[in-house]
Amino acid sequence: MSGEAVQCKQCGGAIAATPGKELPECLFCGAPASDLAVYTKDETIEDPEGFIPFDVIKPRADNAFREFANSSFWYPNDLKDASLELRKLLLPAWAWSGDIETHWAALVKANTQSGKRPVAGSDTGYFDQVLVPSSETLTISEMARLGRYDESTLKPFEPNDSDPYEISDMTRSVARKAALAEMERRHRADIQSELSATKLNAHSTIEQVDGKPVLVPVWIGAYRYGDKVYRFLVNGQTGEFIGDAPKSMWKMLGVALAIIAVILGAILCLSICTGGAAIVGG
Amino acid sequence: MAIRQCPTCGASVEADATVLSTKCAFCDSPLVDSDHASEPVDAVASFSVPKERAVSLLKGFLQSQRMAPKSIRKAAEPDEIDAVLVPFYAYDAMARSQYSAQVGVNWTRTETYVAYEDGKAVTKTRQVTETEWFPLSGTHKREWKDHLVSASKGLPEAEANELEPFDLGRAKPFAPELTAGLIAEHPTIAHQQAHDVASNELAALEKRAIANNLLPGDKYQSLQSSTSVDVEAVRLVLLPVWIAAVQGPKGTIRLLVNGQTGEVVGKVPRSGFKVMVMVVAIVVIIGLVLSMLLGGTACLGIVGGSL
Repeated sequence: MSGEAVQCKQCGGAIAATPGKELPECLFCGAPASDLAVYTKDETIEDPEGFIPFDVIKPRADNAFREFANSSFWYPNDLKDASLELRKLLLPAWAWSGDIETHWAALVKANTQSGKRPVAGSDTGYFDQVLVPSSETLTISEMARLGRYDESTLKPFEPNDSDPYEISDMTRSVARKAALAEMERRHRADIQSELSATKLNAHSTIEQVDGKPVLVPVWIGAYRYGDKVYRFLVNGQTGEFIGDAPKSMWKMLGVALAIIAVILGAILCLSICTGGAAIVGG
Repeated sequence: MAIRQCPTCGASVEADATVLSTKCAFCDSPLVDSDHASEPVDAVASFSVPKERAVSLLKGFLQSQRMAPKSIRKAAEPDEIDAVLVPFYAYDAMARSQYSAQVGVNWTRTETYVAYEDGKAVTKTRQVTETEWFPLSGTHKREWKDHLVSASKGLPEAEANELEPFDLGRAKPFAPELTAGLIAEHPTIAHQQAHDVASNELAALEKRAIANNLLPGDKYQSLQSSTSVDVEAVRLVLLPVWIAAVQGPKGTIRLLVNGQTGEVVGKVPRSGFKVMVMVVAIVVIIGLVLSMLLGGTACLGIVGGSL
C-alpha cells in the first residue's frame, strides 16, 4: 500500500489514492477535500490480491446516468441535468468459492385433504464467485444489484499504479461468515424456485471454502438534490447501474390530485345516473 | 508438578505440590500420589467468575432449593471451594443422518351438529382440525463444532452436559503459566470411550435437529434416525470449574459452578420432613376442593329440588 489513504469525516469511507492523484472530494458522499483526513490502516487487514479492470469508459457511464434519470416517472425532470461527476473507484470485496450440500424437507402442493404433502431431498452445488462487499458504504444487496463481475479477468494488484480504491476493514473470518450465509441463501432460493414449496426447511454444509480479497471497478458519483445526498453507481465491467434518486413532490402532488379528481368525477357521475334512474322510476 | 490419583472416584489431579490440598476436589477423599501418563493439552480457558462470585452464586442456588434441609439452605459458606481446570475433549465432526418419520399435516373439516337453544333443536356448523399422516424419509448433514465430552472420571458426562456451554472462543493455546496456582486434571477417560460418547450424543443432537428444524408439517411421530459421525478434529481443552463441597446431614454434597458462565449444577438432597409436610398439604387441599365441589352439587340439588 502506498500509505496515501484518507478517510471522510462525514461518511467514514476510507480511500487510498496514488500520490499525485489526490481526491477532489469524497467519492461516496461528495464531501469536500477538506473533510478528508489521513487514515492509518489496521495492519491485520489483508491487502487486495487482485483487481478487475475497467471495461466501461466514461461516456458510457455518463449515458447510464441519463438513462437512470429517465427510468422512472417519479424522478424530477431536472434530475438529468444534476451535476454529477462520475469517478473511477475500486471497491473492496471478498471473492469466495465453495462446495455446498443442502438437505431439505418441504411441504408442496398436492391433491390431499390439506392440499399439501411432505417431500424431502438433497442437492449439491458449487459457487465460484460469491462476492462479499467489504465496503463501509455498500450493502450486500447493492452489490448483488450491481451485477456479477467476471472473476476470470482478475489481474494482480499493483497499489502504486491503481485507480483510487476503498480500504476495507473486514477481516477474513467476518467475510467468510457472510459468504457462507449468502451461499446458503442462494442455494435455498434455487431449491425453492424448483419446488414452489409452501414451507421449506433446509440445512447446508459448505466445504472446500476459499476466499481472497479483491477490488471490483465502479463508476461512482454522489450528488445533492435539495439537502440530501444521493449516490449513483455503474458496474465498471458490465455497465449495469444502480442508484437512488429523489421523488418529485410536484409529480406526486399532481397524481394525488388527479386521483382525487377521478374519484370525485365517478361519484358525481354515479349520483347523476342513480338520480336519473330515480326520476325515470318516478 | 505432582500428579495424584483419587482412590475413591478415580479422578487424576495435577497441581503444584504446595497448592494441592490433601483432599480430592471431586469427591473430597484424601489423595494418593501416582504417576499418570498424560497427553498434550491444546487449549486452556481461564476463569472469568472469581471466587467470591462463585460463592455467592452457590449460596443463591442453595437458598432456592425449597425442599432441601434447612441446614443446607442456610449454609453460610461452602466448606471447601476449589478452582479446577477440568479436561474435556472438543470434537469437530461431520454427521450424516438418514431418517424416516410419519409427518402430520393438519386440515380443517367443517362439521354440522345439532344444539339445543331455549329447548329448540338448532343445526350449527363448527370447524374441526384433522391430521393427515404421510410417511417421509430423507437425509440430513451437519457439521458440529467444538462438541464437548468430559475427559474426567471425576465429572460424569451428564453433569458436564448440565454445566455446558463453555465458550471455547475464549480458550488460549496451552501454556504452563495458564494453569499456575490452579488444580489441573489429566484426562482419565480414554479416547475411544470419549469418541463413543461423542458419537452417541451427536446422533441424539442430529435426531433433535431433524425433529425441530427439518421435518415439515404440523406434527410428527415414529421418528427414527441413524447417524454416522466423521470426526475431523479432537482437541484436549482444560475448562474452568469451581468445585465446592457443602456439608449435608447425610454426608458431603458436591456442587459445580461453571467458571465462565456462573451456572450452578448439583443434586441437593430433599428434607424428608419437608416432603412429608408437602404431601399432607396437597392431600388436604384436594380434600377441601372435593368437599366444596360435592357440597356445591348438594346445594344445587337442594335448589333443583325446591323448584
